[in-house]
Amino acid sequence: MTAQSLLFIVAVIQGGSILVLLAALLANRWVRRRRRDRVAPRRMVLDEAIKGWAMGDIGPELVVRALEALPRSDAVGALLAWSVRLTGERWRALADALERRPWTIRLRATVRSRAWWRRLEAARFLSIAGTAADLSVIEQLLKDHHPAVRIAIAVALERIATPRLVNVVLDRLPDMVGPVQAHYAAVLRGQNTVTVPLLIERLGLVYDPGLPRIVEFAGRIGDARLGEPITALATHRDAEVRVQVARALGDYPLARTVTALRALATDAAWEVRAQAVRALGRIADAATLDDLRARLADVEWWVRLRAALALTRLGAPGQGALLHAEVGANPNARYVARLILGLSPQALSEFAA
Amino acid sequence: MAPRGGPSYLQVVTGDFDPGLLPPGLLEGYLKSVQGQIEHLAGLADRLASNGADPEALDAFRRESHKIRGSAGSYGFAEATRVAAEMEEAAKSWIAGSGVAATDRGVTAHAYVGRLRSSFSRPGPVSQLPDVFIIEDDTALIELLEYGLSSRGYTSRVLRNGKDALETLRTLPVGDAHPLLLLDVDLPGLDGHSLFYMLQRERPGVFRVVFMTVHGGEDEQLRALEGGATDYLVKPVSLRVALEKIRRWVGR
Amino acid sequence: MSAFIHGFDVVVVVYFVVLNSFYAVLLLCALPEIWEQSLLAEDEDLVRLQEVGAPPPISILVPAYNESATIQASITAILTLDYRHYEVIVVNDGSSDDTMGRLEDAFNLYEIPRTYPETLETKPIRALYRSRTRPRLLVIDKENGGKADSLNAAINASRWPLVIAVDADTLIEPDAMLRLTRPFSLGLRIAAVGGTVRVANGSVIKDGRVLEPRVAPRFLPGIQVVEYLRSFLYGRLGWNRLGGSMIISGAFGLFRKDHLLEIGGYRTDSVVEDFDVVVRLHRYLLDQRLPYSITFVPDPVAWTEVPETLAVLGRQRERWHRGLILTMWKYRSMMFRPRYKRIGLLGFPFFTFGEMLAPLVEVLGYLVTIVGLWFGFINLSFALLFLLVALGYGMILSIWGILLEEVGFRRYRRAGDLVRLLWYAALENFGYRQCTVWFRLKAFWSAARARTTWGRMTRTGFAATGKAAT
Repeated sequence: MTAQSLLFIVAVIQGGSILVLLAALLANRWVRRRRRDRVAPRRMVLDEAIKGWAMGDIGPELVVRALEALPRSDAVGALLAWSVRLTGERWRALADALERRPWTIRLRATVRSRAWWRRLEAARFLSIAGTAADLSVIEQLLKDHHPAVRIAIAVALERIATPRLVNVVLDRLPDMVGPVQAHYAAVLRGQNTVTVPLLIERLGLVYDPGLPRIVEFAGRIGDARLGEPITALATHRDAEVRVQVARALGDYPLARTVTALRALATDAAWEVRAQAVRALGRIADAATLDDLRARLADVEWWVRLRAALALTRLGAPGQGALLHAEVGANPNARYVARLILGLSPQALSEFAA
Repeated sequence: MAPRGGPSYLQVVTGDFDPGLLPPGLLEGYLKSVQGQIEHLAGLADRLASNGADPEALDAFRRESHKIRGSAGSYGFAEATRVAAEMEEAAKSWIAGSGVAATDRGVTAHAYVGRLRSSFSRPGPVSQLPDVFIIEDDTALIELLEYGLSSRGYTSRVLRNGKDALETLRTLPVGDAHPLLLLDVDLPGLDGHSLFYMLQRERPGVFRVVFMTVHGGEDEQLRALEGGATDYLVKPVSLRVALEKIRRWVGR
Repeated sequence: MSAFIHGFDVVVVVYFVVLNSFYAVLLLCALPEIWEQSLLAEDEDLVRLQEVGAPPPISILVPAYNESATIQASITAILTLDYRHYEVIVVNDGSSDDTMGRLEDAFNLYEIPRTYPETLETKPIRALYRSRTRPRLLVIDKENGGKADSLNAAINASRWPLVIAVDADTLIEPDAMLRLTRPFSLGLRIAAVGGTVRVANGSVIKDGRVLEPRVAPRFLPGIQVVEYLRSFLYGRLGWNRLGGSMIISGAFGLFRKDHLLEIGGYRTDSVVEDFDVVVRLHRYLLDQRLPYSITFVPDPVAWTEVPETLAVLGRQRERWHRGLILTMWKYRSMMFRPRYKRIGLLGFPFFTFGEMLAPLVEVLGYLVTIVGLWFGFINLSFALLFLLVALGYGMILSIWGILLEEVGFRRYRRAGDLVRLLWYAALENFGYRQCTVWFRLKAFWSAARARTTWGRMTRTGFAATGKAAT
């Protein structure tokens, strides 16, 4: 093969590729524009219908009709867009109206698809328009391999939460990272009647290695009935459990809790002390003033910081304690008191979160 | 991954036209006549619903849109001009036989009319004090609130940027009124809390401020309320509930 | 002699075929990545994530040196991003101009005592400030020590477990943080993640935000637009499938703080501290056999100004290549070692033989071809073949980058911008590329010199890019 012929071949291939690419670029723009021109008026019709429906002027049938005029992915996207801006009971009526439509039946069938993006679309749809009839499908999606699908369907729990579904979530807790846990806690916010009994049960499993995450989650849920089971774990062997207990107890301003927290404030592990002190700050019981003041001189920086922040919540006595510490004997306490006293109220509220 | 902010066909209205130079009464007269035109367009939309290819209706639709497109601009209704222009283009394409299918034209025409109505509820002239200021940069939510407010008869104005909002609000002449501010916490330019803080300092008690934010935690809500806010709305909003609350806050 | 020259040219041609084919492999890997990422990047999902409070709190680290002209606008923009929980730590790196004064005025700063534990060693800190009007802001005033040193100081002061290093003149898009933390919000265990950096020159900018992206009308920045598209849209994206990113741009990268502290933070003795830290992170995590992933997410965007003059560009490219050479040399023990998995077996060889040596090979190829032509050892068609393979192939890859941008991201709306991009893609290889080859070649010389004068790092200033006003 001579250089000449090789050159020719390469040149042809390259030239051809360039032409194909340019054609693809132009085609892409053209197709995009056509699609936009087609979809935009229909989307506008849907938007106006949604607004009227949100005001109660029209029924869900017109919304359904407008949805069906859109291509499926745009329809699901539009539903999603409006569901994050608009809330209310009306969505249930819309979900019922959508249940028997052929396109939604087909959409529901895609949960069995091997392609995760199809399952994702179905999950997005069902998170808004799922009904009681979809329980098994929702359960399947909650257990899906792909994280985006699980996250998408989680929002369905806001409206539809059965013990079985919540258990699927709770089973997963040990593997969940913080942001995902926060997500589930947020969507389950209104479902405490279902969630709390299940949590109480799990909080009794003292030997479960996943217990710290359960306690953490229970802390996020923050229901009154969880106070006692959580307090009971304050003397657990595992420091990680105690850390989460300390953090969670900040939501329960009871005498029993305060006693437990005072004990935790002198725990061996500094993380536990730090959380206990923080929780005491949130409860803001004047009787804990001395405990907090003692923590200003703790060996660990974070505990000292939290103690100082907690004292700011105890009103005048707390301020007094800080001022006292600022000129006191212990140098660590002096520094941290000076730091906290110097912060503006806005900064304090940000810092103390 | 298109830029975020809502449907792409919407244009952002940021300019403020000041026809304080208009003789009094002229604006009210214009608005009245425009209402008549809008009703006419609604009637045409009905006709198109029954026959999407009605040539007379299509032509009348185009002419009416064209008229409004011309007049709205000179009275300061920029958004209305845009909507009317879209309507005219749509009508032209329908006359030519393209665009939306004949069966859907009625519904589409009604949607256009609805948008046109909303766009006239926003007071064009800067000198007219609106009942409610919507200080928010989420286009879809803005539209929703405007729709709701206008259907309940409130006038509203939108400010999308925190810095611009501060500039506008600190020098705004309010007289005895206490306009309601629906204030989003996350604004570009200057966040809602800082904006509120500055307004409180410079013009205490002038505005009634309601914060809007996504799923506010307890700390956030406390921060806002302790700072002197009237109330706190959590997004996503229930439109009817929000409007009821607004009725109480605005006071009529 | 003729045989030697011919043979050498064949070697060069083969080298470029292999290299460009590897780029093509990256491209092929990038395609499914873009597809998947675009499905996950729906705007409305982000709003939803915000609503449920899923995004984790982050600390944004902003080293600043002599930025008094723009510091207020850029920090204000960073303080108003679309993100719930974050703090911004600005480090004034001993600026000789009025940067500190501007910060004090703009943000109503007041001094606070420094009582956090300083885990990483840095140059002495002069003072620590918070702002009365912006509770999110923390400002560190310290003695000059370079960007890496400033980042370390900021890491010490940060309170959240995730840190993002940005440049003071980078324009971050409001939703970029939401998008960048999406892997975390989805529950993936990521050690570091990078986002896309795009060229801001020529765009409409207001209040520290890019309102309307445009392709720069001038030649030099315009070509860089194409370059960045190529490099980010499939250069980095492709590596997601091939074993993980080895580069995370210092202008826009998110890291887990605990890992950073474990490896000792950023190294002050490197000119490319961002590249250095990622390689070190890989080495540490692979040595510890911890499961991890360092990845790239294409949809979060940070805009930056690129050099508009050849002189500034030259310094920048020379510095980058020098850093590459020195880093590859420093961590050469990772090369071809199976314990470093794909980083050692694919990434390192690619960066060394592909990226690092490419300018050498290319220059030699030119020289030998010219000599060969002169002496008639090579015929014209062979020379043209060499050119086509080296340059034409490169041009096609650039156009692919543009296609990916058009299909996946669509930032440039106007048809004129598309035409400009294609034009620059075509012209890139006729002059610009040769210039960068020359700059990178110089880097070998300066790298050799730097090795012998180790210890004193000249601060070239991370503000070395041209600040052409837009």
